[in-house]
Amino acid sequence: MRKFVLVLTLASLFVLVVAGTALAAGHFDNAGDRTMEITASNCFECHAGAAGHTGGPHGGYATGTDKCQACHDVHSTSARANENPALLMGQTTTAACQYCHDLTATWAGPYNFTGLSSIGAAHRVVGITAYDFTDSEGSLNEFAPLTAGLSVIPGGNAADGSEGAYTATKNPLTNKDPILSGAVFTCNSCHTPHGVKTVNKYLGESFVKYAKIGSENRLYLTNRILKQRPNNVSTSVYEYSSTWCLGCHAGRDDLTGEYKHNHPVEETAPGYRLVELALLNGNVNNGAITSQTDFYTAINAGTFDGGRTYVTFGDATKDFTTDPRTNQQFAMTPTDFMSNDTARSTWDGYDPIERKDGEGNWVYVDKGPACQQCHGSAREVEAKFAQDYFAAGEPARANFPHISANKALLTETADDFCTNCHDPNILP
Amino acid sequence: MKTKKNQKLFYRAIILILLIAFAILAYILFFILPKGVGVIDSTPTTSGKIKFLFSIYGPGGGKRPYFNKPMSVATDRDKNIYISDTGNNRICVFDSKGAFLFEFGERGVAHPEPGLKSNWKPGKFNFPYGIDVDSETGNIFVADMHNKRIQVFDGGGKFLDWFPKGPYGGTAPDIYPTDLAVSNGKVYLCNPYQVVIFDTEGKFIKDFGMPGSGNGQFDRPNGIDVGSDGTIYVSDCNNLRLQAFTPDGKHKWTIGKKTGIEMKQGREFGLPRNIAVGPDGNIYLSDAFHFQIKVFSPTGQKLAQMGKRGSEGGTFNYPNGVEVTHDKTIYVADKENNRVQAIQLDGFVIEK
Repeated sequence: MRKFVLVLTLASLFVLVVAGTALAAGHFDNAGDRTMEITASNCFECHAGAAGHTGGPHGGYATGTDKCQACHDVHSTSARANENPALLMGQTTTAACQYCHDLTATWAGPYNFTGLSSIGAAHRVVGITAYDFTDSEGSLNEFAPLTAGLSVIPGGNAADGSEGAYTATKNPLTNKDPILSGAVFTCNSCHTPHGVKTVNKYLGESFVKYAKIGSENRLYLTNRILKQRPNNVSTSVYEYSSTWCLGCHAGRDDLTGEYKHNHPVEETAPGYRLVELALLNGNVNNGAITSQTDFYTAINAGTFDGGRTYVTFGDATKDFTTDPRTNQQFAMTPTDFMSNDTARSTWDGYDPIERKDGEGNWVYVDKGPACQQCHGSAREVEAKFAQDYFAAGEPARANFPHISANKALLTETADDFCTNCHDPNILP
Repeated sequence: MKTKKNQKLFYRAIILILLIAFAILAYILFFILPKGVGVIDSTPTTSGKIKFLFSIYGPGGGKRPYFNKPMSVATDRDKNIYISDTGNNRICVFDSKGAFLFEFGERGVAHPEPGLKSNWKPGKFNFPYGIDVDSETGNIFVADMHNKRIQVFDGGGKFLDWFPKGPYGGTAPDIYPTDLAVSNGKVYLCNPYQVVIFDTEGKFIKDFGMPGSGNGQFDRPNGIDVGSDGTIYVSDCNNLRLQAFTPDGKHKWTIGKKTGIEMKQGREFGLPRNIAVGPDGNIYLSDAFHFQIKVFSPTGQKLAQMGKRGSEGGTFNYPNGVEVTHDKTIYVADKENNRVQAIQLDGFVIEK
């Protein structure tokens, strides 16, 4: 009996000690390498005020600046040059961008949009700091890494619309495949931080297009450092236009019949020719500005804060707190909803797209729509276009194309969306 | 008779052995093993003059076992560790050995897209960043950045209050707090271009600062703490400098400045982020782009800088948060390594 108790006791002691050790070992397990790769440096340059297309380290390189080092680390042992041929300190460009663009160092944090309660869709970028939208709450789960990118580009494949475009030629500088492959889609698929080979400035959406500096209302024009060759397309695109989008979404090309498309898109129509719209609607009421040329002359002369361009316009009653976009340029009806203006037969020399319904009524007048007319930051388009141009509360803060409450990155949903352009009274 | 006595001694010995065994087990469970399921790396090592103690990678269990971009760290009187797990919109609490205690918070948006409803409720966060513990009450203060508010919890993580509930009363339209510090019944926080001071009840006291790079001006400060004499230290992030102010907001001194390439060698900071005033009165600063912890005296003299980039213990990958306890243990929110490290400095040296 004593032997039995002794053995039992020792066995229990053994089990207790071993179990404790085992538990301890398990809990101290480092569970693999969780090192996050990211890079970006010298975000402080975001407010440097250097001449260039934009502020920050995005261009404006001169003898008195050291912006290159903001992102590239040539000789330091900390550089991960062997992992990143661009000599970035992290593995991906997306990761480099995210360190500053998380709203702690700049307001421009497109994937850290503060107010969107429900993420419907996102133009996601793959990278270690990309985002997981599968949160059980259906909301943005910031920073959650994605392990794979989108393999399907909507409207991408010209043949069946099912897969990525892959229409670009190899990068002439590196002789590498286009950077957009569905797996390595990063910030620099669309943007270039180098301040050159960017599209022309346009009136940006939302909060950055309008600023009230003191008592002055100012416009903000930007190129959003968008590349002239998105996805390394072989031909440069100088305007942020449908053509620009078609660098990837080739299946939504013009009415040429060569591509499959389920809604016509005017390839040459700039999506954001808002300066002209602003002029036409009298919202740029600076006496010195009567034409687009004047406008650009003015904005090039007046810079503010790091090369970002602001323009003062004189009439305080005219401002851009609401989106100046109308369907005037892209009207699918003979007259504009808002102004009742008749459509123009040409626009800057482009021929109009002419279509008639079965009864001979003009249905497609003027130019076809641009991608950006339908895909953009969510807003109440109809309310803005047809009712009260200066209504407060719109547009929504910019979140397009990075994230959107709309599942198709559309400006709004339901039939209201269609009838913005397709007047029900003249439908065939 | 003798047999009975032996038997009695035998059973006493057995009871003693069992008691010892349970004591050992209790020691393992309560002092070595994390409470809950912690994830810790405690392999002793040194990196330069940095003595690595341990790293915490997350609670280890639950829906989100690992940290996701932890931005700030604080401690209380018992040296418990409070971590802003920013990417996971929660606060995680550990004891001084890194054992997981509890967590609270989930995502909630107070200022949604126009047309959408707020889903914020007390205790929910949208980018919790700065965190500090009121040494007098043990209450936890969290800078809920995107929700533009400070949330207050008791020491157990129970929601108590939030502020400001309207215009805060200062020069900016609202607060957009990055880092905060709680000291002497006041809450000091960094706004994008101001320092804002409330009392711990949320009553606005004052603010100072404006956009710019002059003395007393700010560009996205990302670190704040208060010395025992009331001096307010501010890590003026985008201006690449550390500023000190009197308790009433008058400028005392500045270290560092933004320079062009000609003066790069003299540049003091890569990107200064959070700061902490240590028990020695010195200022400990996390320099994200130099991957270092830098130490300054209360008068602004640099005493030490240590650290290098890496993922091993004692190295950093964009360190953001920093806290120093009375035993001079330094906790670093090693943001891009997704961990919080506990380290000690082996003397003050200037490492290149």
